[in-house]
Amino acid sequence: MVNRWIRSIDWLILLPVLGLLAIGCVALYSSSHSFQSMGHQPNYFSAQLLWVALGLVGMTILSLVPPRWIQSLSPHLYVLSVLLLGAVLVIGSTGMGATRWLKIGPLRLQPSELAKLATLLALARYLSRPRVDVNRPRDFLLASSLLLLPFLLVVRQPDLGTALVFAAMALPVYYWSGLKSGNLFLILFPGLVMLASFNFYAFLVVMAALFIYLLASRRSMALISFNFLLNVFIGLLTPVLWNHLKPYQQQRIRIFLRPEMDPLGAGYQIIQSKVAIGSGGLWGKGFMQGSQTQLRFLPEQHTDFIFAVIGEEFGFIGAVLTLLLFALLLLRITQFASQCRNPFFSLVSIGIGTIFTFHVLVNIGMTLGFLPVTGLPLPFISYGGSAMLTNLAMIGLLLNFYRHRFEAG
Amino acid sequence: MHRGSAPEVRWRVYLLLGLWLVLFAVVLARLVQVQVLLHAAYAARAERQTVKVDRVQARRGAIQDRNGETLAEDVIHYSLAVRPNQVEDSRKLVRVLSEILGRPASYFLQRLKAHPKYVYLAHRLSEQTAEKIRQAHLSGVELEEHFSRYYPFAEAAAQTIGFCDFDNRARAGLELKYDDRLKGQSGLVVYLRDARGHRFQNLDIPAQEPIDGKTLITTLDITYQQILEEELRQAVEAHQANHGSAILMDPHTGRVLAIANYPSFDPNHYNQFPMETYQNRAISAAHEPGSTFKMVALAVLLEQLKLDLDKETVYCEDGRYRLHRKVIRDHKPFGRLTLREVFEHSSNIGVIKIARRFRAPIFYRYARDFGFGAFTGIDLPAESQGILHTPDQYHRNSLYYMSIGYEVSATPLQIATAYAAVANGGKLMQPYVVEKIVDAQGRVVYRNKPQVIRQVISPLTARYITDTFQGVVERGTGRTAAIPGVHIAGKTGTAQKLDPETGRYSSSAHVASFVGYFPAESPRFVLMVSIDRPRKGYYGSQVAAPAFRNMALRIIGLPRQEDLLADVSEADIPPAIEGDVVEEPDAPRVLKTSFEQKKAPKSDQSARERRKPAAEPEPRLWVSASGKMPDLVGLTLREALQRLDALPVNPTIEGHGVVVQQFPRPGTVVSRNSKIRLVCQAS
Repeated sequence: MVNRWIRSIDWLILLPVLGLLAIGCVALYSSSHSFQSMGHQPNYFSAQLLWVALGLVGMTILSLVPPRWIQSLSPHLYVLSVLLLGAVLVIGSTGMGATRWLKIGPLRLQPSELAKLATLLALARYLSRPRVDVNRPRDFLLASSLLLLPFLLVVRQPDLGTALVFAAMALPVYYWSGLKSGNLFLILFPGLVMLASFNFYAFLVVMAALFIYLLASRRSMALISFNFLLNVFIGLLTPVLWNHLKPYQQQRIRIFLRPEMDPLGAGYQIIQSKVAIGSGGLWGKGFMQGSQTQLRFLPEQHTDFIFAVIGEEFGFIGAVLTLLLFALLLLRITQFASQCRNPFFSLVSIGIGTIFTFHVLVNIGMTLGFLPVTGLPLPFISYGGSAMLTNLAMIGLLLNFYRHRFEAG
Repeated sequence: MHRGSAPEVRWRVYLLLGLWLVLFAVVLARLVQVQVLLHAAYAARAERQTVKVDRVQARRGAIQDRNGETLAEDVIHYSLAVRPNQVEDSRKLVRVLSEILGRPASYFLQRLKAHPKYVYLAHRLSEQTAEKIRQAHLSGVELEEHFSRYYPFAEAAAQTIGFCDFDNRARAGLELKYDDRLKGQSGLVVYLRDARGHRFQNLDIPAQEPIDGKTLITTLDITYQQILEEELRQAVEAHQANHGSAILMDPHTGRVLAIANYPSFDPNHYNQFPMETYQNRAISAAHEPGSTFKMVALAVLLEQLKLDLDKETVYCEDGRYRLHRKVIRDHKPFGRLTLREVFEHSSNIGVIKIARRFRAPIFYRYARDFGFGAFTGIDLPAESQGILHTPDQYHRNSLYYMSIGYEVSATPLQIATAYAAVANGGKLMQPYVVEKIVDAQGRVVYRNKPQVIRQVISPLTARYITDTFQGVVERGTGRTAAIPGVHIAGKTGTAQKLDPETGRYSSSAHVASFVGYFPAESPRFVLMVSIDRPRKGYYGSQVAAPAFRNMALRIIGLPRQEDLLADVSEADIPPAIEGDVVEEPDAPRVLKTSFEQKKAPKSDQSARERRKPAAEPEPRLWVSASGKMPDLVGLTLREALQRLDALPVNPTIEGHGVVVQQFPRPGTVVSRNSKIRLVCQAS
């Protein structure tokens, strides 16, 4: 009995997650200590423990429910999360130039976290339908509009980082659901066009390449012209959109390119994060011994920059261990997704893996100063209730799928 | 995975995994770069941000006079700092501060707004003010303790004590000279500083307590110091002089009891005074001394020529004497004077005529032995050594000019020290200002002892000189220094200043001085007064001697006498003599000295022509009688020859060893042509 129970759990998922939770709690304890020494500050560590406990309960429940429920509930969840995102824009609470939270009593919920999972479930459910083929323009557009709605609502908050998660999750999920390489390129082109649109000549070159590629792909003239015109439109729209970005968002991207130009202002976070990590060295300064953390030179150290706490106090060894646990988790998820015969399970798994990977890479890339400051938290480690509950819910789903891995969809 | 063939599926898995692994590898590479390769740079940067070293000021040692009066000490004052973001009631704060500090509330309000984190609102607050602020119990207000230097006697001995600037760094005087002992050692506290500027003590590194500086106990006496300063000020102002200096010394020990300079400055507010007032002229300004330097000639003639002051006479040429195309004048015409009278009346001509019998090396040796041309080694910074040329640098007249105090320069301290040697029986003493140094626990860590540098003249010679100088005050140029009932030995000096414009001696700019000691029979004080460029009167006897007398009166404890100031008789002042030769004090009109050789006078053409080059005055004995033969029997040949050194004789010597016979007999007057024979035998 116990044996069966043990075998029903995917330990290769659960153990790395527990490891990451432990690392997160240790880092948060250290960071929280530095807050407490100042007085007046909330104790993030205790609060996080509560969220972890709640999250683990939620995870366990989700791992035990019949998987059909999940599939059938996903449209409702999607509608709910879209409504919540809408509510945020109307009655949300504001902090740091953005409206991201819904206040319910003492709690501050971040619906965009839930929306990630709900959108993924809805997308996976749609794409796993037998007759849906993402290579068909109609199905592709329908699937994409599922993503676009929450994407736009989150952009409106504005929370560019989280919004990008919706875009980032699309590609692997489409690809996994059978998107042909040729079509993948068509999807990728708009992104390329966006980047190139800031330079007229680059824009011309990219458009020429697209034109040649479209002609060579032997598609219908209607599709070719539509696609081409769409890209022209995107290329022209991008600079306009750039100008509509909030100044702080523009600044973040500019500072990202040259953080040293403003060491006391916008570049401060990146510089301090690098100093904290760099000064940690190979072995780190030891638990609660990190000067940059304890003396609060490290900004946002309980949320966005918590990886720098690990880097400073536990050094290269600690940072690599964290990275390895994430890599292990990711490998296991991908392996499961590739072996799972249930298309819904498989797509959801690959989507979850993508969400985690995107967060990890963007967050750590940011703390190491080679990606923009987007404000994406580090899964299982950064402080934040909504994110913790959502992330553990995702793990609950993975454990659930593992238990039912032999059931056909 | 639900669509596509098996290889296609595998390919997708590999592609996706490959992409992700590449991204992870990029992160890992960056991690290696930041944490391993660039670790040292980032670690240094982290330390710069977080580790702050605070110095805890050590209390600087005090400076006291010999009776324990405090001349300089560190006092605590306060700086008022405010953290505006911790202030609860800023209106109340600015109102209270405005009441206590007397500045408008709007000023404070504006400062608070301009610096939201930390701002200094006032510095150098006294304990009372600080206490008032404390009593107001304001939030966000900090009072920082600092030490600052306080000089209770303000201008008294300011140049000697020196001063510390507003950062408590020694800048001059004893403060500078003994800075190492006074300043102590500041303590160190290593702090950790957080991003908001809060500080935490770093418990890993224990704080180093500051070590307070040591206390200087000087030889100065503030009572004498104030007497000197008051009288000096009176003299400088009464005679409309540029400035003046005075030194009071104990002749037996070399202890300096007071050094006064006027105009002075208040070291508490040093920045409000011109820089020139910081200079301790008494030790750093060397002038040509003039007649006070005749003391050297007197010593040489007594010891080397063995002349009798009362029996020997010299003809003083009625006040006008031609010396190698230069005219030497006396301040009034004298005829034949005894040697004693030559010095009492300070006849330049008389002294020069005696000096014609001096040998340059011997005169130089005496001047050198009296400490001229060398640092006295007093424990004060910026001493000047003056100028004393060596015989090989002399031109034709150098020796004569030097005999009357020109072509040499000396500081008031050098003159006072030389006179102290005469006063104490011939011993040149090392002058000093610091008696001892005491640490915070009262232990003496350093003690200065009186130090004899050398025996310059014999006690007997010293007595003769004192005797002569007593005559100066009783009968001669120094009468204005006399105090009834007290024997004072002293000498006036009136030196023409070299005009830096023309390189010639000025007829209108003088340094008037008087140096003396009292009581003459057993001197306790040597006092030197020097007044630079007086405009009302210029003789030492008119300007410096009365100041000397007033100082001496008060030092002895008698009331000072105003009326004696008018006692300078008009007769002492010589009338102007012919044409371009303006009236001479007791100084020659030296037209070309080694001081002015670089600048040959141009305008002197006509004057030089008028004074037709007369034949070189033939060298002859100016003293009416020649030297008396000393008793040499029993002396070694070397000693005997030394005795004869002062005489213009050329003895023949028979044998070697000890003198057994001499010709002529002791007491016989000998001159250049006398035949002298010494018979020696090996002992």
